[in-house]
Amino acid sequence: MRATLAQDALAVVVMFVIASLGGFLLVRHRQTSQAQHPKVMLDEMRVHVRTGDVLILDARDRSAYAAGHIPTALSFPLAEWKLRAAELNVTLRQHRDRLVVVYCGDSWCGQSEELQLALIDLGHTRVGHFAAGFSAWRDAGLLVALSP
Amino acid sequence: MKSPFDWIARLLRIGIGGIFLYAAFAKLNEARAFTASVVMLQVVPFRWAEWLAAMISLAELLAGAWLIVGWRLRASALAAMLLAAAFAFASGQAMIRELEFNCHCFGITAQPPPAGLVLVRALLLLGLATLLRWLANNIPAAGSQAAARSGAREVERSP
Repeated sequence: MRATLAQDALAVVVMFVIASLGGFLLVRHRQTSQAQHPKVMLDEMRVHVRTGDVLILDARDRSAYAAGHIPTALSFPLAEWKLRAAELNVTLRQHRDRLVVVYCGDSWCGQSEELQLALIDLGHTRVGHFAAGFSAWRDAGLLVALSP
Repeated sequence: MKSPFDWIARLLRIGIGGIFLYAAFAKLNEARAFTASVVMLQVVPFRWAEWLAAMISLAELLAGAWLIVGWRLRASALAAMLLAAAFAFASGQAMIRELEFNCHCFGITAQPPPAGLVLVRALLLLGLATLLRWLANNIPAAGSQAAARSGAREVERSP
């Protein structure tokens, strides 16, 4: 008897359930120690920018960066991190004694968290995350740098 | 003797299965990069993106292997259709929203393909998977061994 559409659909559902469970296990296995790396609050960020004692990476795309970014931040779009990994490593080696802080648009964008994980995967030990993001910096009325 | 449609179905089955397997291994090998792609799509909260990226990679792996094995082809073709449709949706909405989307669908490339090309590729794959399912539906030998045996028994029983 030929399989019905329902039987086909059931087989496909089973496949996706297996993939979901496998994905969950993979993520658990891969979980990096993101929790050990500092979360940077807005006030701390102001001090860091004033003193220049950290390397700041902006994980948003280039157009967002050009429209306005935290002063002294370097543009490092998440979409490009893998292609520019070698360049990133060189930059980070030059600043190896400094804390690296990554940020993106706001606390929901996810790009900075992912860039933070990527840097940790590359072996960098001091990577902070400014979770509130550029929107919090701008909304606090702080100085915003523009790109030419 | 197999008809041309049997051969076409076989070619599609192995070809699409091979594409999915290649893509799955590329994604699993560059898991962080593919997770970044899912994050860039902004369709799920960040906490879910890592799980979703892993799930898609494994689903491609399972679907690719399933197609190549050839068991219950109608169902495996349906799985391929769903995955291709998901990629088409993802790249389509990235285009519409003008997101900077770097797919990493087949690993890291020096020059990431534009979202439009990713969409065309996904739609092509969807079309081929749909054709495979149609062939599996209409060509008993292409559909499943059980269906083929069932067809053979019908022929034996008929006067």
